[in-house]
Amino acid sequence: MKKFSSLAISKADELVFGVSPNPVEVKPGFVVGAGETFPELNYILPHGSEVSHATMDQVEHVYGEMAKGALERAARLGIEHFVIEVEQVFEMTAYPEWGERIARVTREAIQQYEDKGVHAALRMTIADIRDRVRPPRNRTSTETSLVLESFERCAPYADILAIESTGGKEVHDPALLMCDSGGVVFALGELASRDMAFLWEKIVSIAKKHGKIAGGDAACGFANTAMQLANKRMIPTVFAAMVRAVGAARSLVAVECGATGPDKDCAYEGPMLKAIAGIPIAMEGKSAACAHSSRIGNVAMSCCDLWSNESVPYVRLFGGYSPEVCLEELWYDCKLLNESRRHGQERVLRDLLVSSDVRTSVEALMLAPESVIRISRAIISSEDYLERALRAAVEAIAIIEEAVANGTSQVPESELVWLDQMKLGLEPVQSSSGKAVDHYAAFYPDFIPSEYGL
Amino acid sequence: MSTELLKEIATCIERGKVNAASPYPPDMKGKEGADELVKKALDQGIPASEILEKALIVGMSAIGQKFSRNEVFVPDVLMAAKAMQAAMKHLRPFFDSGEAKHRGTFIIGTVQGDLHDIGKNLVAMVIEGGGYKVVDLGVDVSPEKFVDAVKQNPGASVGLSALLTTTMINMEKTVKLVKEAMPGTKVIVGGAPLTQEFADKIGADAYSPDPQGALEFLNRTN
Repeated sequence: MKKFSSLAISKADELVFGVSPNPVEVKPGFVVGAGETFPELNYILPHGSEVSHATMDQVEHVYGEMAKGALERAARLGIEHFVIEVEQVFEMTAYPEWGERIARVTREAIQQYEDKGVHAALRMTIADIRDRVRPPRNRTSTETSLVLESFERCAPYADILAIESTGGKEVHDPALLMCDSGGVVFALGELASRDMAFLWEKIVSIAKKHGKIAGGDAACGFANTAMQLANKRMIPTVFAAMVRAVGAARSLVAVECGATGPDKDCAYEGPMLKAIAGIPIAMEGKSAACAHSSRIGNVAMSCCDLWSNESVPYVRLFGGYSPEVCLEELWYDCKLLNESRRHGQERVLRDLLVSSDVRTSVEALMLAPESVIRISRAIISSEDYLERALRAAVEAIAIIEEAVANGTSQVPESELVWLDQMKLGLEPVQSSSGKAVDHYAAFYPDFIPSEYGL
Repeated sequence: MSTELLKEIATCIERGKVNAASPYPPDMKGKEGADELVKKALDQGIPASEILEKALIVGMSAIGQKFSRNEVFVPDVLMAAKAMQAAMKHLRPFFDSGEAKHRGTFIIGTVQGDLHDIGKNLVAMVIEGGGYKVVDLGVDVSPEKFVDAVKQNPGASVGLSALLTTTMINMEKTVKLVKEAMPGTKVIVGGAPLTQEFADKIGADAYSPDPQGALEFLNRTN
């Protein structure tokens, strides 16, 4: 397995939207990371839709309509290249033939528009249903087989394969709620990383067999859960910011296994992966407010290569159906980014995107180019999964403390006490001398070590 | 004397002081916690129901209200719940024998197809802290399982949780079956995508965006 010992992008100034050291041709003539930023559109069934044997014909029809609507809008506006992401709901993975039907109908729609000058790529994101049974049997369950079967069945129709894997979540969830920083580091650094190594070796193999791209794996169920909990004032934002940095150490494993990007949109840890491995990344921000709120809507755009709306339910708006509307918004966002590059103003725009968010959010601070480089360096300073996650956490806390001290980022008074608590929480990892598993198994008994190769 | 002790216990619950060995919260390090003080209260002859009403519920209510006002975070509530559990360990025999009574029973679960349990767990803890017996059915709970639980716990109220727009529809069937099986059962729903409008549409009795709201609903209806 490849390990990174140096950064592909070592200077903050070089971390900019549209350009990655290792661009990826997602389909012939459509290269991501080579100078232009493109939209990535994601949509989902209307609220309250049921996916079942009884409704599957209708579900397939709706997915076809959603794709065609977006492609038609692209043809009218002259959008030559964009990515459609179909993110499976649980049922589509539990019944892989259903997921295959959705992939096929989307591919057919894409093909219909090739002659009209629209060359869309399809990212199929398989749902990780292994977590449905707690404690999950990540390596040996029927669900594991269904996940891998879904990749196999969807690969022929997809251009990019992706997942938001959930290994370690059974420990991460309670650790997050307790704001146990050590528990988070253990869940992401040890458990999630080991699980990704297991899973991604197989995903990359499937992608290679079908001649498709192994995209990436978002720490969505971890760092984005933290972000949402912080948004709702359930946990401190300083804690959520630290989780983001630790999540990067975890998500890097996919790349080490052979994923090439473009990384997943909801992987806000993508900038670290871009800095470390030079892969192109998808990001979501202000134009994903249709899916969820965040404090990082502008900074997220600052080094994206694909710009995503995350997800929008299929509804009729004044301007058309929601996927078409989102695609148009994303396209205008991308046009602005690309135009700034043509004028040599991309760093000016990037810096504005960064500073407009960093002042008001420590979560945004984690994605500021200087922070990204620091956290990335911390991650590659060790090859050990747990140690590098720990170093990411320590670096994140240091960055936040410096920002608090010099007033760069605003942190609510009620959260300051948590910075010390977070440092204290890391002590069991720092002093575990290779026995972190024993320590955390006592606190979080709801995981099966053998399912992580432990 | 007993009033002071009950106040001390309430403070331990609110601050999440489990026992003397617990280092949390740092400013109470080394002091007795809910564990020791509740035992002391029982030894002094204070009735279990009085300890529950005047100390445990008071402490949990205080932290619940602070949480509703965004003054504390979930881990603070969880630590309070841990202290509550340490205290309940001593009181449970009195409830089992019937000497003391819960305010009511609350059955809770995340609906079928949905595996998210963070919100559900939080609600369960606050409701338990409010003096109710909580029957937690877990995640991905079928409507039939809710019905079985209601039949086994006559008079119980029911809480349904969902995080996904694709699973919230399963609430409607659950509400319908529960109310058919046990008419008059109060059902409260919650979860990120839900609204009062949706709750009304599916025939639920209430919607709450936070645990404290759910507790207040139960207090009004029990």
